[in-house]
Amino acid sequence: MHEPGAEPIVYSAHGGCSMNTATTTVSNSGLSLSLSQRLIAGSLALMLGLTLLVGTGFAGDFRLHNGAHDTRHAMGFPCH
Amino acid sequence: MIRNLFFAALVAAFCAGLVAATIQQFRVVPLILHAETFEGEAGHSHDDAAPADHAHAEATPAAHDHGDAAQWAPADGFERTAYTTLATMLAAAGFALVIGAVSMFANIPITFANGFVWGLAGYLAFSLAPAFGLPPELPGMPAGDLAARQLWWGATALSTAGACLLLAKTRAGWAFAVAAALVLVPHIVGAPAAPDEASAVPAHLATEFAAVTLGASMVFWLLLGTIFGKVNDVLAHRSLAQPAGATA
Repeated sequence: MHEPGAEPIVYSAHGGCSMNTATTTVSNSGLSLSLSQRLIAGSLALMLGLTLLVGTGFAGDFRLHNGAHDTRHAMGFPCH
Repeated sequence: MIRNLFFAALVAAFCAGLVAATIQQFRVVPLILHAETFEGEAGHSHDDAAPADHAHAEATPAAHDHGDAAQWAPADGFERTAYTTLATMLAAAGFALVIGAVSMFANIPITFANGFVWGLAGYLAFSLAPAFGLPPELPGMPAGDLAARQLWWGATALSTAGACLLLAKTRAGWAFAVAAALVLVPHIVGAPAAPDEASAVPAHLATEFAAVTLGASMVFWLLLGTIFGKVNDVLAHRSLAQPAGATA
């Protein structure tokens, strides 16, 4: 609690690689979200994100296909 | 918190998407345009190049759209560039929101310290692993059934991402075995094969295209993860600093 600026970085360094015991306690100092918050935020982001990806990379509609044509090739999506 | 997630994802997507779109315009699109000049030269190759022909056979609902002789497409030049840039930025936002969602579900925050690793995992899952079975294709290159390739692409991305996530959560021995299986199975099953027919597109265009797109994707993903993490850190510092300032 005394070093608000330093804690997120400490948490992050461990959160990405190893995990579990230490990270949860550190994260409670202000960064952490409740399970329901994470599920709601994650679900919304996933739905919007997949909609955007399907729209740009996978859609069969010729307008979406032709508009995003070069992006689909450039990003490695199957196109034709 | 939802606002923070979306804000960080969109800032990262804007920056990384802009860089990716710039690389595309200078290095990728010229190759696509060059390849398109060969479309229809080889007697049979225009069949592969026209998405409409595949759709006619399988997808009846879309058939009437494709039946129109003149399909809308952005005009070459500014309009096409604008659409490509927009589509790349939207795809970038899609990728950013997806990894943001994964970080929420997995409870592994994306930070400046681990953002590079998030980006690397995204590159492996969404670019390199799919490309291993379905090499980046230029217009006019022979390719297998579109729906089958899209399915394989999605399944491979999901499976590879699952392997990365598993190893991020635990480094137990069994996790390495499961992760290895998740990475390998799509390639053992195999991507839908391209029909064995000649392509009018010169090989040197195709190899350059594969190298450039994979390189551009790596730049995109590493930037996306790193910027996402940086913005998250800044937002976290701010939210931590506020209550401290109020009490002290």
